[in-house]
Amino acid sequence: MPVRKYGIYLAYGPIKNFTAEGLGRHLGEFLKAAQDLDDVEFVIAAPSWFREPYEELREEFNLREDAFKLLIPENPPLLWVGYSWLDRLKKRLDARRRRGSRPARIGLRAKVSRWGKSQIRRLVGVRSLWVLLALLPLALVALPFVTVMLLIWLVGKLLRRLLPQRFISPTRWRGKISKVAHVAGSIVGALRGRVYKAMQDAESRYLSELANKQDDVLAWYTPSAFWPNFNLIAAPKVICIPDVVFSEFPLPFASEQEGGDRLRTTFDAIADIIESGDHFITYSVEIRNTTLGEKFGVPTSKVTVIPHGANRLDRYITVTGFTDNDKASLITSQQYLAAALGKCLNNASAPRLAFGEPAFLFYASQFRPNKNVQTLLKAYAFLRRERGLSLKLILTGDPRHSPLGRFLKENDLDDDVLCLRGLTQKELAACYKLAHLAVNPSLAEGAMPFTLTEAISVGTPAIMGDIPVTSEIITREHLREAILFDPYDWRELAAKIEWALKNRNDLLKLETDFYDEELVKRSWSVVVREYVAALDLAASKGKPDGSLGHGR
Amino acid sequence: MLKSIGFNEVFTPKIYPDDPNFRSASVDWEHDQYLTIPADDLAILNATDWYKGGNRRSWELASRYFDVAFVMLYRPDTFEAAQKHFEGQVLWRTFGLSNGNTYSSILSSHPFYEPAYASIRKLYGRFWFAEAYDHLHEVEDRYLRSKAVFLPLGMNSASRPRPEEWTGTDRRTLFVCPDVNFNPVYEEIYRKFRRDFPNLPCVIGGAQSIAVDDDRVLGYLPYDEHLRNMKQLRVMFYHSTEPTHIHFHPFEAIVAGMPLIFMGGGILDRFGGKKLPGRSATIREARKKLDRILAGDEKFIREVRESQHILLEPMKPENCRAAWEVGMAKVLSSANSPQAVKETKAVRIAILTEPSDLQVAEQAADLIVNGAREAGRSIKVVIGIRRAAGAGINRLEPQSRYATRDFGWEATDAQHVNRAMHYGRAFSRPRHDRYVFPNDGMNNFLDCDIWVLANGELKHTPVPLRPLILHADRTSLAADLDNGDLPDKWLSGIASLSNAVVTNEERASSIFVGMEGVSPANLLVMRSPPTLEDSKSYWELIEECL
Repeated sequence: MPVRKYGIYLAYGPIKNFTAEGLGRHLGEFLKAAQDLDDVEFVIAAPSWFREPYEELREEFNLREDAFKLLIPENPPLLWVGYSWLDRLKKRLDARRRRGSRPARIGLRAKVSRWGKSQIRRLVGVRSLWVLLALLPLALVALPFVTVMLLIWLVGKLLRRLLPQRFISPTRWRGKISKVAHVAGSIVGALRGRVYKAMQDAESRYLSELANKQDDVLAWYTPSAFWPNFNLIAAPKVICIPDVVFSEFPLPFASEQEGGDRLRTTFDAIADIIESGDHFITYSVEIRNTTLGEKFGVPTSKVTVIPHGANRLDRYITVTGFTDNDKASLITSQQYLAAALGKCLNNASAPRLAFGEPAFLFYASQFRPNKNVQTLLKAYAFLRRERGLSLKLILTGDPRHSPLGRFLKENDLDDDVLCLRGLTQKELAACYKLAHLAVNPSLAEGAMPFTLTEAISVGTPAIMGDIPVTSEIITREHLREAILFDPYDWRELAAKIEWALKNRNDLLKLETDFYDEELVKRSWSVVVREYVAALDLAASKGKPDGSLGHGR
Repeated sequence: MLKSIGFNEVFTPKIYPDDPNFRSASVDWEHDQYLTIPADDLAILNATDWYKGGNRRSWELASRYFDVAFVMLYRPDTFEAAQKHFEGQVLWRTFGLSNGNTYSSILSSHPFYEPAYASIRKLYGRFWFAEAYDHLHEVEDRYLRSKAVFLPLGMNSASRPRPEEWTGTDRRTLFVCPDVNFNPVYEEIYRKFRRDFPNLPCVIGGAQSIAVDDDRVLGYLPYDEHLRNMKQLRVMFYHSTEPTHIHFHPFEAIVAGMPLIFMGGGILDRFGGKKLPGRSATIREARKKLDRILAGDEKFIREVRESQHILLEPMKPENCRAAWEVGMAKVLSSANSPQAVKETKAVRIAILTEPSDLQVAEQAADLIVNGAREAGRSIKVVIGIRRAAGAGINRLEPQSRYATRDFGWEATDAQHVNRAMHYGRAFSRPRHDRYVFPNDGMNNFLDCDIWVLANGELKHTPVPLRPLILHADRTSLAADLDNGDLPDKWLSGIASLSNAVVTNEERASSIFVGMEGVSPANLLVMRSPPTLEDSKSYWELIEECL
C-alpha cells in the first residue's frame, strides 16, 4: 500500500508535565491512534527541549519507538542556556521575596547557637581521653575564629543598645530585601520573557526550515495557532483552531488582570495566522461558523470540523485482580482524593475532610472568564444557604489572583468551596468518581466540554450549560432536557442541580446509555482518520492538478 | 464593459446626490429593460437612494437578484448597509487619491469614515478593492492590498480618436482646473499653475461651483462650446505628477488631437514611458515646450501629436476587456465558494434598566416581542436589572414576566475598551476616556445581539460593543420636558450615542432631533397607547441596528 507522509509541527516552549496537560493528552491520544495507520506516516518536528516531553508521551501512551520520524534538533540553541539561567534566578528571587514577606522564621543566629549547644553537649559527654586529645588541635585552630566571632557578637550587642530600634529591626531589613528581590524578580522575569520569546521564535523558525527540507511530506499539521512561523512552511498547511475565546469574551480578556497589552500581542499573532492560513481544523460547527466564519471571515470551504473523541478517565482508577474490584477502585479513588485535598489553596482544613467520606459537587476547570464559575457559586450559595444542600463544591482553579478569590471571601464561601490546584490525572479521575454530580456551567468552549465523557466514564452523572457546541452533540431532546441548563441563569442552574441530585440514578442511566450508544464509539482511531482526510484535502488543494501525491 | 463580458443584467441607481461633486453624473434608465426583476421590486430598487446608504429592505432585495455590488465611498452608510444586508460580493471602485493620501490612511484617520473601515474589515472575503489602475493597491494597507482586483477604467472615445478635427487656431493653452473656490486641492493646483506659468496665454477650463475672479477661468460651458475649445485651443497642459491619480481631460485632449504637454512622474508615465515629446521633467521644460507650440513650431507639434496616441491604448475598452474578464472571474470564483452558513438563530435582546423602571422595561419587551412575532422572527429577551451589589449574590426574587439578570454598571478606561474592541473584532477605536459596561459576572450581556437602555442613567458612555437603543419612556421624561431638556440624571449625549431612540413622548422628538443630533430615520415616536404598528416599527428599527 502506498504510504502518504504528513508532518506534525509542535513549537511548544519548554514545558513540564506535558502528559498531564490537556494538550499533551490530546496529542498522546492522537499519536497512539496514528501509529497504527497503514497508509500514512507522520513526521514530528519539534524543538530541542521537546525530547523529554516526547519521551513522557511515549511512555504514557505506549508509542512505539519507530512509530514516528522525529525532526528534533540535537542541541538546544545558545539562548537556551541564558533562558535556563534566568529561569533559575527568577525562581530564587521569587523564593527570596516570599521568604521576606513571611513571618519570622528561625534565624541564622538561633541556628548557630543551637548547633553550638549540641556540640558542647557532645563534647562534655566524651569519655575517651584519646578522643579529647584528638580534638585539642582542632580547638586550637578554631580559637582565633571563635575569638573574632565573640568580638563581633559583643560589638553587635553594644550597637543594638546604642542605635535606635528601627535601624536594627530584622523585619525592616527583611522587608527591604523582599522589595529588592521583588523589583529584581520583575526585571529578571521580563528579561526571561523576552529571551523565551526570542528563543522560541528562533527555534520554531528553524523547525520550519527543517520542515521545508522534507520534500516527501505532503502537508503539515499544527495543533496550535500560537506559532506564526508555521506559515513559513511552503507545503500545504492545516492549522487547528480550537477556539478564539478572546473574541467571544472581549471585555474580561481585555482587562489588565488577563495580561493587558501582552495578551493583545498573542491575539494579533493568532489573528494573523488565521487570516493567512490555508486550511483549518476545528472541533465544532459553532466555532467554524461563528468564530472563524463571522469573526475572522474564513469560508467554510477552508474549515474541517472534527469533533473530539470520547475522553475517558476510568483507566486511571479502575483496579483489577481483587475479589471486589469496585471496592478496591473506590478505595484507590479515596486515596487519590485525599492527596488532591492536600492541594487545596483556599482552605487549610481541607485535607482533614479525607478522614470522612467527602460529599461534593465537582467542576473541573481553570478560572477563566468564559468558565462561568461565578454563576455556579451563586447557585451553590443559594442551595447551601437557602435549600439546605449538604455538599461541598470542589473546583480546580486558582483563586489566589482571581476575582473569584475575592468573591469566595466576600461571601464566606471558603469553608464550603474548595479550590484544588494542579491535580494529576489520577486525582482528577478520583474527584469525578467520588463527586455526587459533575457540573459544567461554561459559557463557551471549542467543543462540547469533556465533563460528560469524563464523568460518565467513572460512573458519575453530569449536567452542563446549554451552549451551541454542546447541543451540537446532544441532539436528542429528552437528553437536552435532562442534562442541559441555561448557563446565564443561576436560578435555573440551582434548580437543575437539585433535580439532578434527586434523580441521580435516572440521570446516570440516561447518560450512560447515550455514552455507550454514541459517545464512546467515537474512538481516537476514527478521529485520526478524519484528521488524515483533512490533510489529504489540503495536500490535494496544494497540487496544481488537485491530485494527491505519495511519499517516496 | 460589464455587458461586453457577459453580465447581461446590470442595475444602475436612479437617484444621485445634489452635490457639486456629482455635477457630471447622470441617470441611465437604459439598462432596466434587460433586467428580469419583477416590476414591483425594480420600482423599490429605483426609488432607493443608494448613495445615502439605502435601507435594509432594498439591500435584501438587491441580494436576491444580484451577485455583485459596486460601491463608492461617498457616505460610510453604504458600506455598513452592504456589509449587513447584502450577501454578494462588494466591490469598492477606486480611482486613486492625490496629495499622498491613501485609502487606508483616510479610513483609519477620519472618524467620519470609521464605520466604512469596520464594514470593509467585516466583509472579509466578500470585499474587493476594485482598482481602476493596476498599481493603486501598492500603497495601501494589507487588508486592501490583499483584496485588490484590477478592473481598468476605460474611455469609450479612446477607441475613436478624431485628431483631424483639431485646428489649434486659438493660440492659448488649455489648463483644466474645476472648483477652484470650492475644493482646496484644486485651489492649490490653480495657485501653483499661476505661480509656475506667469504670462502664459491660457484659458482655465472646468466648471466652477463658486465664481472665480479671473477672466481666464471659463467656468461651465455648454457642450458645443467645450468641443469648439478642444478643436481650436493650441495646446493642453496637464499638471499632475500624482502616481496614483489621473484626470480624464488629458485623454480627451489626445482624442481631440490637441497636443498635450504634461508633467512626468504621474500615471501617464506608466502608460507611455518617459520618452514622449510631450512629457516634461520640470516646469521650466514644460514652459519651453508650451512656448514652442504656442509659437507655432509645426515640427514639434507634429511630434507631440503623433507620439501621444500611445497614452490612449490602456484606455481603449477593447484593451480593458481582458482584465475585466480575469478580474470578474476572480470575484465570482470567490462568490461561488461556500461561506459560513448563516443560521437563523434567535435574536437575543437585553433590556437594561433600573429596578424602579422594571415596568417600562417590560413594556419595551412586550412591544419588541410583538414586533418580532409579526415579522416571523424568533427572539429571546432578558431584562437586566441594575443592583447595588452588581452581579454578586442578590436575594431579591425577580418579579418579572421575563427572564431577568442582575448587573452593575462598571466603569473602565479607554485602554481596556480599546483592547476589548480589538478582540471583539469591532474594527474601531474608543473615542471617550471613560466607559461603562453592564457587568453581569458572565459575559457582560455580550451574549445578546442588541442592548435596549430603558433609562439613560449612566455615568459614562456604554462600551460600543453592541448596538444600543435608548428607550425613553414618558414617565422618565415628563418632569424635564417643560424646560426643553432630557432628565438631568441622564448621561449627557446618551441619545446621540445610541443607534436609535424610541419614545412614547411626542414632545421629546424635537429635543432628540434638534438638540441631541438623532437622525429622524433613527427615531421612533410611538402612539399612546402603542399600537401593533408601533411594535412593527420598533422591530424594524432593531433589524436596522443589527
